Amino acid sequence: MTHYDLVEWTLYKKDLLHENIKEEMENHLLECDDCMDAFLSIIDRELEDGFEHIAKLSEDFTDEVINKIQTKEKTDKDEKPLSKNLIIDNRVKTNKIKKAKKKKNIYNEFLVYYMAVASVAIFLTASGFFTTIANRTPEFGEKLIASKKEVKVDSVYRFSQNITDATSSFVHNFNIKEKENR
Amino acid sequence: MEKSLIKKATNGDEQAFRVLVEKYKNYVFAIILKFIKDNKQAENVSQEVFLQIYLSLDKYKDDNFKSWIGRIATNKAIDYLRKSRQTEEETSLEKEKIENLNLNSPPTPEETFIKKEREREIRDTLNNLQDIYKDSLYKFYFEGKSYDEIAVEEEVTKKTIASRLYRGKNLLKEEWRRRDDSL
Repeated sequence: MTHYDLVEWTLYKKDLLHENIKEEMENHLLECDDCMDAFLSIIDRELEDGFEHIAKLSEDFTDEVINKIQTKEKTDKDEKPLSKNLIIDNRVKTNKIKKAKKKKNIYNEFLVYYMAVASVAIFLTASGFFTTIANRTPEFGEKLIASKKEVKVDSVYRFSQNITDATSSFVHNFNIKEKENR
Repeated sequence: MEKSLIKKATNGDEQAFRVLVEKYKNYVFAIILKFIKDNKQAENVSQEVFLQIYLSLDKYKDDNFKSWIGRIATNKAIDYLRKSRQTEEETSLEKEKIENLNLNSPPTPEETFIKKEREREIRDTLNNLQDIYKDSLYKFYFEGKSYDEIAVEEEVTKKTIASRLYRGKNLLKEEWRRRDDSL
């Protein structure tokens, strides 16, 4: 896609371009957001610089706009029986419907997540996963306690054994010394 | 403040919409005038733009209101030009008459003067560039010639012309800045 830069849009704005180029640039403007932004920024700058249009808008411009709106609404009313208030009501209703749809979507999402979690839970129950855990947990606990007891008994036995060995050794050494002293 | 005006106008508050029209009418008119030189037609199209804005208010998504309006105005103006050109082609016997009627009323002396001033200004600016750039820019932008046509005339390749146009534009931009132009 050919993009046009500020130089080209400025030349366009100054109406200095050949008709062919102008037409190409206009067609491009309808398709390209970046070029549209560039073009509108030139207009902005022009207005900021206090550019005075050769032609001024007529004094009753705004009144004419409102007349056109009212004529349009009247024409629409003749074609379809909609009053101005009904047009407003429809807009308000449309907004309400949009909000209701959004709420419904949130509920739908919640329902989907709930169903997914419930399905997983049912599957695990049916496959006996929870039963296995329930049965194995006490066994595991008992094993743990038993192994702890063993460790305790073992360490007590060793301690006693050490004391006995130390005492025997002491008595044996004492007897030897007694004999040597005599 | 503007958000609340837009909200009220969306709900059918005529007074709120009037305020918005007053605020942006010059902006919209400035855009339309870039495309349509006939003042009366430009004003009519500007009014149509605001009618379109009013009817599309419920589609506006609280983004950048001025930019949104600018796009509607540009689209409307280009759409108008396309239809005018189509009408012009369809009635070729009265082509000149329709062209003058739809696109351009005879320019006022003021408009003629301003256009001539702009042309003089651009010629002066281009004259400060080297001939190879000046000639390529002139032929492409002001005479509407294609790359191929210019390449044949200058006896160079299309790629060379593309390169000259690119360089020429940058030089033109620098010249404009040097002259304190809005660019």
